[in-house]
Amino acid sequence: MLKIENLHINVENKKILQGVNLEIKPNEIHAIMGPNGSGKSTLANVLSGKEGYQIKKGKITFLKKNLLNLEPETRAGEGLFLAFQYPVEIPGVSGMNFLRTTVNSVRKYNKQKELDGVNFLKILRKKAKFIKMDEKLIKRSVNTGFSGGEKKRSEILQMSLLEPKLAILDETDSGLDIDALKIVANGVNNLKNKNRSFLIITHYQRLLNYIIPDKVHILSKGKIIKSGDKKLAIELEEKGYEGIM
Amino acid sequence: MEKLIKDFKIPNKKIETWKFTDLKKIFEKNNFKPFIKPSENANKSILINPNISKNIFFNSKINFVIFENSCLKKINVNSNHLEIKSSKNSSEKKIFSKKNFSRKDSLFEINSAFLNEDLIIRVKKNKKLNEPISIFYYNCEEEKYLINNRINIILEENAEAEINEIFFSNNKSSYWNNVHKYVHLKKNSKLDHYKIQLESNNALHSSSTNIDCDNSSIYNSFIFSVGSAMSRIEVTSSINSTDINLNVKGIYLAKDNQHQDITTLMQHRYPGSKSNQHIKGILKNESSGVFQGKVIVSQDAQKTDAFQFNQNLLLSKNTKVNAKPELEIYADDVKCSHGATTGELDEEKLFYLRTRGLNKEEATKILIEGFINELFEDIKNKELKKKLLFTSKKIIY
Repeated sequence: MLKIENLHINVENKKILQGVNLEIKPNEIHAIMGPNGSGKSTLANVLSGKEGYQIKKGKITFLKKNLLNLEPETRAGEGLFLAFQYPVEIPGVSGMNFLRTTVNSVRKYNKQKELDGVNFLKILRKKAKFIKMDEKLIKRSVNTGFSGGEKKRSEILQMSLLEPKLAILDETDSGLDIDALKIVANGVNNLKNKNRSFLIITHYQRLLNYIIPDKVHILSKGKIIKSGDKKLAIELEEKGYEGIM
Repeated sequence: MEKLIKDFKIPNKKIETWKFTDLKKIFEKNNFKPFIKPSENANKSILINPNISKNIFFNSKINFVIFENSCLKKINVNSNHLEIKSSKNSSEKKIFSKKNFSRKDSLFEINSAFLNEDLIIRVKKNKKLNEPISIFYYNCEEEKYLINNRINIILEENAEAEINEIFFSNNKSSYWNNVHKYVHLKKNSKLDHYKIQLESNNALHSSSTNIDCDNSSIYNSFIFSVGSAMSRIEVTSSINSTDINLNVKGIYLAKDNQHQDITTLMQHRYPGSKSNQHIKGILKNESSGVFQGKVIVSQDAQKTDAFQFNQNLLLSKNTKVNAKPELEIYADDVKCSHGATTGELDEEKLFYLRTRGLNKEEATKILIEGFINELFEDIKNKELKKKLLFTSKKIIY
């Protein structure tokens, strides 16, 4: 599904990623862990197409396409989703309209029929209920005045509506209490299927108690220095980054 | 002796409050002449082009006043709670204490010297108007006239009303509209005031709304300014008692070489009142915009709650904005804050929307509409809100 080969990224001429290799197959959950400044968020941003990153070397293939040539919206159309670490607030734009516009943009890209208001609402209600998101919150302006937990939940709702092939969760667990964490994990587990994969970027092992990863990678100083299964995350929790590196 | 326009100093950059808006420059280019034809008898037929009337919120069943080329054309009163008359046929000449609204320029003197019409609108004591009052200012003259009208609005005790002012023209008429309003809100009265400025793009618009507020009165205003080559809209309040609530919201959209100026002054003279201002600007092409907002809290005006915020969105590289928010506080127990931001569309927000499948153009549109909508959320007149949003979109795209 996703193949990253020897990726080197600079930001303002500073080397951030220095030769990352990673392959994610369908139906796999990968976790990338690493200390602050290791390049985790850079990787997420480059995958989703954010500007301001110099690609010095390497290649990213997503579903047989050269991902680095695609605009962010094309990546979304192709089935890539990024749950933001800090979702932005958009005052004046109603959540309901925003969600419908995004879903229909992606449907249009894939030559599917756009959903009308009634049908969209049916789907939305079902999905919002599953992640315990109040409809009142959805009617408000996008993320505006939401608490940290509500913002993350809103990201999970978007993910479940867009039904991506690869979802990247960038520190979605940060700042969540245990109940909110379980809801997020539930949302992910519920979406798991044989055609879908996840890349979970996290600082702590906590979320991985609820979402069981197939593979765990440790990113340090712009390189993946160790890969393993879920036991690696537990080992990391016990020994800390220093103990492992 | 009869006065001439050349006897007056046209506001220019030398006057502190006109530092960013040079009215004189435009005036000299056009050489506007005061319109001196006496007002004909009102209630003549209305000549408004029907294509326009459907876009300007015109509804013949409501209470309305029509000015056409500065002459008072028609007054339509559909309620016993309301009185609209020309002060020329009235004994009440001096209703307002102008001392609360002293000016450092000549606009009011010009208005007085060449006054075309001086209208009085009165909403009776304890009465609530169910239908709004609309004032239409319509121009289609080819001559370059300077038009001077004055409106006096009185809401008696416990009265409630909505007033909509619509400035428009059906062609490329070039004129200077110099309109001044004095509003007296008596005890417990409430006024919703919408001002919709759609003048011709060759016109000059200068107007002021001066509000005298008595105990527990409420003034909610919304300014929508998109027309004229140069526009200056002023709102000045005099808070003469306690428990008063003033809300001034507004947005201007400027494109090509337009210049839009919104200048406000909130004078808190008594304790325990609130004022809240939120003004936005959207600018395109080579246009320019100004927000000058001042809040003065006198020494006696303790427990004042004043808020002022200005946000400007620049859609082109060659636009220019001058924002000057000011607080002048002489009391020590008050809650006052202000701020101003000016910038292009937020890259983070654009990126966020694009990762959700929207292309750059769609994402831009959503963000601009959001910027406008945030203010429109407060508009209580839903029909008006819909039409203003429609008009905004036509102008921006």
